[in-house]
Amino acid sequence: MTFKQYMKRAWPLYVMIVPGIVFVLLFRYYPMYGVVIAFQDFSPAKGFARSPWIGWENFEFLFSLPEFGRIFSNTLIIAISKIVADQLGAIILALLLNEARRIFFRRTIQTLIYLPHFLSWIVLGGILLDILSAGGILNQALRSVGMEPQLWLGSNDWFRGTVIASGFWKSVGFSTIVYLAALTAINPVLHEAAAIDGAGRFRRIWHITLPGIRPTIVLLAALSLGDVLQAGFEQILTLYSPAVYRTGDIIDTYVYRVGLISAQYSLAGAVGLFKSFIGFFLIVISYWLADRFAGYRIL
Amino acid sequence: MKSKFPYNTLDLKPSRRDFMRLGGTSLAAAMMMRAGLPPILAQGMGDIPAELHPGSPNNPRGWTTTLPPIPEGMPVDPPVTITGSRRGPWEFADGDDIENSNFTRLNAAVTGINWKLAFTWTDNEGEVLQKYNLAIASDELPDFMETVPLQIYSELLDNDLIEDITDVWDEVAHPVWLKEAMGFSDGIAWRLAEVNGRKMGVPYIEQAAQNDKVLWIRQDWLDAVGMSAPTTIDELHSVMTAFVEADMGQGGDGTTLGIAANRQVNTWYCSLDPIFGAWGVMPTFWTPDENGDLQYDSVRPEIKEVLGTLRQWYSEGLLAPDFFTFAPWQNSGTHIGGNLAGLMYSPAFGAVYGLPDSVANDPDARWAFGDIPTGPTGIKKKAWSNPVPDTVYVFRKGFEHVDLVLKQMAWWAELLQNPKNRYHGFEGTAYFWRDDDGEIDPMGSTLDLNGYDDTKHIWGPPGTNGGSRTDPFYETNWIKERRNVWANTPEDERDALMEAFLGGDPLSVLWDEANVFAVDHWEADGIKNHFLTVPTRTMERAGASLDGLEAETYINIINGQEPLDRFDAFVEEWRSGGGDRITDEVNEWWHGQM
Repeated sequence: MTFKQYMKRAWPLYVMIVPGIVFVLLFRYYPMYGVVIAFQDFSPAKGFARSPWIGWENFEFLFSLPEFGRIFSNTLIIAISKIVADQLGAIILALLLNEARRIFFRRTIQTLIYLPHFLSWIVLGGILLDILSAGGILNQALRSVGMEPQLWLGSNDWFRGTVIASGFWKSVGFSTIVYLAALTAINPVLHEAAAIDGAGRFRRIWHITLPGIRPTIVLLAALSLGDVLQAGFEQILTLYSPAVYRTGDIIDTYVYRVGLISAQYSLAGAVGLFKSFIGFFLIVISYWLADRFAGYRIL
Repeated sequence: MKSKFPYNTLDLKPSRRDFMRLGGTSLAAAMMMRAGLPPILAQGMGDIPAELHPGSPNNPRGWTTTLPPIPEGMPVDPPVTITGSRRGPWEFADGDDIENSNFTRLNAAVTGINWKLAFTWTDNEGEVLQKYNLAIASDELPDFMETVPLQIYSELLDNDLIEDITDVWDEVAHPVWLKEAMGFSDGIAWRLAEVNGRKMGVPYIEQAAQNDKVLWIRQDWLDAVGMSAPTTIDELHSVMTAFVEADMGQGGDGTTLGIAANRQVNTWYCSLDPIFGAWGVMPTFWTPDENGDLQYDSVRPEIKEVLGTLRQWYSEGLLAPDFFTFAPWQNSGTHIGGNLAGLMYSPAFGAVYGLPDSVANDPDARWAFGDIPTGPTGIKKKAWSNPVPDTVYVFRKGFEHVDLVLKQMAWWAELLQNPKNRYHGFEGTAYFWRDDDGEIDPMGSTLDLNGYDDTKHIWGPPGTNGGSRTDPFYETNWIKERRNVWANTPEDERDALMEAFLGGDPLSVLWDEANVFAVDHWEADGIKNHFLTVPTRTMERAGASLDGLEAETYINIINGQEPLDRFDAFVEEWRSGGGDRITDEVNEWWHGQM
């Protein structure tokens, strides 16, 4: 097939991709020059061109914060725990749902676990506060079975767990659906053949289903590495309080409080750039991992 | 629940001060109205066409609004067009819009000013900054800028983009409705708008004592435990203990609270500021010390005593075990609405925020309010709520018609703020007159019988979408007028406006009473925060860290996670972590002020 023949057949595809490329260039690449404010004492009145340059000062300030160690490690711990819980939970849920025989049952569960995804953290925060408060329904239930009530949102022992669990509850439905979609791509003939050969449910999951979605697992897990500094700003902002700053304060919430005192565009820019830098690094690593273990390549 | 409330009946005779505020013309107008006078055109306002008048003068039981005299030299000829920024959103009927409404038509007839919208915003955090920054960056500032946030204001000042209005103000500002009205509390209104003795803008003024606390208390619980309202902190402790021991609350066993509190000790709702005030200190406030320097109250030694007291209360189960996970607004549902607490320090509006839920969940609930209890040495103080938020109205550098805008402000201020003028919106904008049964029909929330928000479509103060006025006692003066004058009008002589306002459910009446009470105690009992300017350099850098440290330390001392002596270490950390430098910077500003 000559190039001309190829183009004659394929040109609609190239036309279709144009809006996407324009979008990415316009909204992802064009604004990138804005990162210069991370190195400026930016004032909107002076603009990008005339704001004074201050080099690494914003980064130095960020890293020299007395709380930096604390907010950085809180961010990492919460974000990584969330990634692990979310991926593992989603795989397990997807496998369980995939084995469910009644379509009605599967659809219902799928919808129910997907539902919290559509609620904002402001709404969920209010609900969780009521459920988890000292006199809330969870503690009342614990008391009625003779267990000690806990301050789920107010104690440094429990706060991270509460954040991870509630984050899991909100996001796992979405991840599950991605895996369920991957599962449908497995050829049923394989399952039938294995069944005829005498493989039980667990054997079939182990030898057919899991290998079948391995590329998806590796790919999603690897890509989620890019989120390793995204511990969930809105969620923590609605749930935390000064009593749990020690275990719950993350980079984003801290910078938010800095911004409350006075808008510090440059510092926010520096934090964004720092997070993007780490994210970029991890994306590169995860791309290599995805290639190595799942054969995933773009080119 | 009707009429079961034990109202704290207050003597609400209008004071001499009220009458002095009201100026001669309006008294005359009020007297004319009393004399049963008549159609609006007879009142010497021949220049203003009848269809532009507010009120419903042509309906049988409609009301007459008296218009103040037209300012000297107005309406200007030829008319001028002035551009302005506005906070939205708004909604108009019948093809009206923000540039052409009842308000602008009357305004144009009175002043000759036509307003043109430059830009608008609705989100008061991010969007307002964006819009102003864009206007600055593109060099397209409107003539008149509404509710400019502090950081934009300092940017405009730094770049010399604001018109100095000092001389115009001295010359044309109305002596009563602008100069005197804005002169309250030693001129605190001007702390932001005045820079180095020059007036760079017009202050944004809200209502006095809006967030000043009163002690809200469950009268029925008090009666049940056979006690009377507490007047000292010790008595307060006894009442709280009695409530908890008798488990008066509606929740599960043992969930009754002594008092509702939240993660902020000095805040706008369910606050603990009057407890700190009982020891004469106010966390997060900067107050003058004996040398005339400003000190940061949060690190004063008296705080330790208050924290010790609160820590004791917490250990006795008088505060919710997890009170510190609650934000102020979350108290209203769980603790007050859920009838777990029978005491709270909340502003007057607490009557309609939280209490309605409480009464809905427990029809026997009877709430009352009282003065805040005094401390061990007889001190009775609370956080003084500043009616001057961190925002100003400014004019573009080089704008030529500042005088006209100031005259317009004064005219509308007099119309709105003098209750004798009986302004309450235009038919079709704030309400509809229904001839069939002679009633007025409020449109949505715009004829808000307590909120007066129907004036938000006027350009510039005293209008604006947010309720700024020129006089912080405006709302209270209206309440007094209703309760002292209107309420004494025989029922068959009342017009529709009086009837609409004199109705109202018991909780709204309680709100009015608490409002008057809080305003009467505003100056005497308030501790003022004297640091009212943009954050200092070190505050910008270290403030979040220090504020976090402070909040964390206070909470952890109260809930017993840290020993009381942690406070001393905190003070040291605060000072060495930037607090000393902040104190120096604050005092540099403070002494530069005087």
